[in-house]
Amino acid sequence: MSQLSESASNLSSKISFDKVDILASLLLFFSLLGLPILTYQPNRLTSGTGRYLFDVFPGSIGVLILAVFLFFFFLIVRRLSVALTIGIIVVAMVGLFYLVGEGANYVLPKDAGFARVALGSGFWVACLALWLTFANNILKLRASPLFHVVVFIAMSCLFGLLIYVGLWDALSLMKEYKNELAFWSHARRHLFLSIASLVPAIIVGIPTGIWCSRSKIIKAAVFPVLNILQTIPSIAMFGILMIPLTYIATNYPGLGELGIRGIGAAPAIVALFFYSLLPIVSNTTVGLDKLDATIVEAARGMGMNSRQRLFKIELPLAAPVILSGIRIVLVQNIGIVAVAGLIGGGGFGTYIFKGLNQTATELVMLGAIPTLYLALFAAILMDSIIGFSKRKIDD
Amino acid sequence: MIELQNLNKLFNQTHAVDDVSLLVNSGEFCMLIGSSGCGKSTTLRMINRLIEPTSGSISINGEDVKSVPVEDLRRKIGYAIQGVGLFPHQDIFENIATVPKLLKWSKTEIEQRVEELLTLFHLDYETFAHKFPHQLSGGQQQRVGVARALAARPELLLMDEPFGALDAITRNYLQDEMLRIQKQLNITIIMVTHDIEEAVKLGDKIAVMDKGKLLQVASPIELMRNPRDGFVRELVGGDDRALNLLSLVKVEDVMTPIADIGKKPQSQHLSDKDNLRDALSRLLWVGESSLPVINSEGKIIGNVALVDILAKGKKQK
Repeated sequence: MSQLSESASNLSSKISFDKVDILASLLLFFSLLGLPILTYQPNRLTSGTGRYLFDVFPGSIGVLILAVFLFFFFLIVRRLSVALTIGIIVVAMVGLFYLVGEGANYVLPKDAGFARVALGSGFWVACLALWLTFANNILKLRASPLFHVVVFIAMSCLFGLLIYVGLWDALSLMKEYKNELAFWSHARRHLFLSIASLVPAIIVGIPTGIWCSRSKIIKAAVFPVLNILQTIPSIAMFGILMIPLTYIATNYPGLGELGIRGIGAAPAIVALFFYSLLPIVSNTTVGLDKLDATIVEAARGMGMNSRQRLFKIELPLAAPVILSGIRIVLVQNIGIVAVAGLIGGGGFGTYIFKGLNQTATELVMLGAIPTLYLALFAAILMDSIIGFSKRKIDD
Repeated sequence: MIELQNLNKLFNQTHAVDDVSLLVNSGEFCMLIGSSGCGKSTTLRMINRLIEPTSGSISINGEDVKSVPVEDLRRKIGYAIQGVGLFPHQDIFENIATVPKLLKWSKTEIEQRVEELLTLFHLDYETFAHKFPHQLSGGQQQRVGVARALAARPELLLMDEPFGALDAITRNYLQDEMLRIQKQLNITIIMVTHDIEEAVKLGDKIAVMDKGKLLQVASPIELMRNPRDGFVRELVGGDDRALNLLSLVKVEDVMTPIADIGKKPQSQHLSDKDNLRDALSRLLWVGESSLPVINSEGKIIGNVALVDILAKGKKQK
């Protein structure tokens, strides 16, 4: 028995499989075979029927595609050099993008009329699988945090370009995009709302956090309030804010003209500001409270006054924890801003709610996918900044 | 000269420091010793006002510590602690430059001083100045910690069990370093310790504290020979007492002249600056009843016999 396991471990140390890569490859294979990669809809408002790989590309073409992907799995699992594996994964991703874009032309009848082709669950799961193994191999490079941002931007450019040159033009998602002329202004709006609420939250939150770490009484007073604010559902929060903001707008028309109204951007920014406070305040407080006492003692003993200690020692050392608070807030805000679409705040949420009202799934996707993308980008960017702030401190 | 007068500190009705009066002369190496919780650290921290006394006064060179702003006071007093407390986000240069920067020294002055201090502690400037604390060993970190405390040329250095967390070899080495540096710079040092061997080795003066009270202040030899009854006797009166006593006497003080003076030693020998504790150990190890003594030039200058050493370690009436 022990001999058996020994020889097994010898074998695995010789070939050395990566569990994540294997799992992702299996998932990719299963999703292409067992799930519809596309959905055919008689018109944009119906739910449609799934189209599997062999429905889209019948006969030898389908077999060929499957063979090519099998070869990819083989290469990924084979564990060549990490850089080469990443290259293969990127090629597989481009292949997948091309496959669904080209497949849509096959599925769509010549006299299409109102018929649409949407991305199927097989495509999404395959995307997830490829992203998983991609991220797994990127991490193996142990590169600087900045590198991850560069990789993310490079990947965005590559796939953005593929879509820009018309690879996906036959897909329902791109048809919705072409109908929505205000897409990019909603994109700017979404970013603006996410950041416009973050900046005041940082300006208020960090000093409050410092204050809380200095005084137990302040802490006991501030935290319950912030905790309660955090638990109010976002739609309820917008509703609550409408009352005072409408009151202000009607009684002070000047302010109303500046944009302070019951609906629109004002309640969205105020609500997001409230949601942003708890993570920033609590991370600042915890970051300062958890500092090594001997370091603070040494700084005091050498004659630094409290302001010098705060700016030269305490805040720089607590920076990674404070920045993780800001990361939480930024990612969270990008998500909540989508809800602001409901109260006329603009942003990608507009498409989500419009799509929900019309039961147009692909319009919902047009709002949801960019929101997800922004949140992912924000997370990677912030992780990079946090990683940078940690570099000197960590052992 | 540092003078503590009738110092008291109460923490929630418990007397942490109870009517302590102590005089430390300029250039003296004073050891504050006692078991943990005896108030020695509290006493030390009242000198640079990290803790304010409940009553009593402290003066440095006749000037009350309360007469200057607290930050100015601390910048003039070196302070080194057990956890070292180096700033992990700053390199060694920036760490050592902390107080000079607070005092707004010029850039060239600071650079000169950091280089001087690293040299003083046998740390190569090129190698260490731009390393970060976590890249250094524990002993190196503590040397940087002391260098940082000495950066602004303080006349007084306070040390709170600085070598407590180090291994025996590193600790021993750093103790020798402290003795050398204290002589070289001629500064006053007050060091807190719980280790009687460390106190005997480093101190010109040892102040023994227990339960907040100062029990006895004496030179190491005086403390060994005439400890007060109770805690002090317990502290010095272990089985090591005779050996501790021997460690205070140098070989050159007990050696007798012999015929071979000026020659090179044939085999085993002692050196004139060794202490008697080491000399005894060496005699036992090589199994001799006496050994020749050499000076720094390697020439024989005398002879030390086992009986001479044993006489020095004996209780004196």
